[in-house]
Amino acid sequence: MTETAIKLEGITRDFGTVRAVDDLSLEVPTGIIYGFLGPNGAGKTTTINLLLGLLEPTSGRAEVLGFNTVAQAEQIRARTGALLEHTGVYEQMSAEDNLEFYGRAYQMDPGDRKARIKELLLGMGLWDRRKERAGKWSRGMKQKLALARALLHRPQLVLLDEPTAGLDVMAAKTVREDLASLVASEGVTVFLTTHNMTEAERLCSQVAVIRAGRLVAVGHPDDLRARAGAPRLEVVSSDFNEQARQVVQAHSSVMSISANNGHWDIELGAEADSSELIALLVASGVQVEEVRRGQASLEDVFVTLMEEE
Amino acid sequence: MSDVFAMMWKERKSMFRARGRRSQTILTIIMPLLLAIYLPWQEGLAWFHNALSFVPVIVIPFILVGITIPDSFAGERERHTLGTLLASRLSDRSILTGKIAASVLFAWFATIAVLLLSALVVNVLNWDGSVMFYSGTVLAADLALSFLVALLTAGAGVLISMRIDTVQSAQQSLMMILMIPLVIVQIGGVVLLQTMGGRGQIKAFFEGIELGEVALIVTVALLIIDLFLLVGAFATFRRSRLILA
Repeated sequence: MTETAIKLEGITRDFGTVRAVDDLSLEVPTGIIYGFLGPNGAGKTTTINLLLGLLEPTSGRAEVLGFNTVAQAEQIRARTGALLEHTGVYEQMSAEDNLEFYGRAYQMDPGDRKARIKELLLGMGLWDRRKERAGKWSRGMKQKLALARALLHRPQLVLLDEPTAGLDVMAAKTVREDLASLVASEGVTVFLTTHNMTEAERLCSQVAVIRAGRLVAVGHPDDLRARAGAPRLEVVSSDFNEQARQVVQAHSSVMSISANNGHWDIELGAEADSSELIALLVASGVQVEEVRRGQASLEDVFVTLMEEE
Repeated sequence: MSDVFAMMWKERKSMFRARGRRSQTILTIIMPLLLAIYLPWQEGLAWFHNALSFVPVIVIPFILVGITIPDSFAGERERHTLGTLLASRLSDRSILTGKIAASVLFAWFATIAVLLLSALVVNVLNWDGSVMFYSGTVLAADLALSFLVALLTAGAGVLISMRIDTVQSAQQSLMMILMIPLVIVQIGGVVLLQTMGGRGQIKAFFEGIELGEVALIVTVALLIIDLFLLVGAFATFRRSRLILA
């Protein structure tokens, strides 16, 4: 197996006068969950369609699992599972028949097909309701079924387009948990598009951020957070005073202080030692009730990137 | 070939099961039953020899394929299942062949069942101690015509469904387009009636025609039209095009 699951080199895709993907280059290593983040209309779905060979790039070159997306699209689709914008579940058929059809389409042996369907439906807590029409199910259950379908033929790569979009908090949580445990047990590479930063933060070991078809950042979520936002210290007290403020503000590691209703939000430099600052506050007569050290969230990073020109 | 069978399996499982299509399902059961009973009951033993048995042979595949093909093609788009199907390893050709084969074979077997039921009705109503059946020419023409009409409706249905978003619109458009030749035949009949001066002369004219020859001419004509439509359907059914639709 190649060590790079996906390799894009200067991929551009135009729809008439609209440029959906603009000179996109990235590499996705095998065996990880890779988050592809961007707002609605950023070009995430178009990128997935390009990866599956359903669309041809206007220019540039893309390889998936070592196969060219234009000339060898059938080989890519044979080794890939996909959960696209819509679940793609046949609502007039039972859950079991939905998986049976795709098992046949991927030429799985009847015995293996049956065992794999049972394994996946049991794993997702859907086995007891396998004979029911999928149309009667909740959106969360259909999404789980679609995830099972994407993993059915043991693909090397799974492409997931907004897998928890439109789900309530609990359904999204269970889909995320199922995804994480299945990926861990199956060892597949996952390319996940989302605009849900919590999801990306929890699941992905690498992320790329796309805006208006262009790549604007790529890396580990921790690296992106560190790059985009300085560490912060939140201090809670009922007796902050002006002397304390002047002392703390004068410390070399403090960039700024913003006071708000008994809270101080202190923006720190990269090498700051928070214990020194707490000691200064206490020495200035402040009774510290609570201290929290934090960093910019991936959402903060994302918002900053989206606001940049 | 296993890919085509996989597609046919799925089509068989989902045929007539879409929500809100119960009335169509009832229609597709009642209409062939009426044709299987009423016409042979009226015709008696002549049913096995004259061209009236062509009526169910043309109408049944036309109606059944006219319902199932738009549901299969426009329906995938309307129900948002097409994208996932196109993202699978199945080739364009396998998807199209499987869908057409499932629909055409269903209609063809339904027509054969109606012909057998008609034969049973005639035998029961006119029992004289021996089993009567269709003449060789009529039976061969029935089988060939029903298959080719099913194929014609399927080819036209695919081409129309590719251009229309909803199942209902695709079904209506298909029915309208395929009704045009029937309307032309009707108008031609009226003109013929006025030109030739009476029903007796027209009847004599048609009785003078050899049934086998007419069936052969119609079969060849349908075969040519079917080929054109199917070539068009295979040329049009392309992933890169469908994903943008």
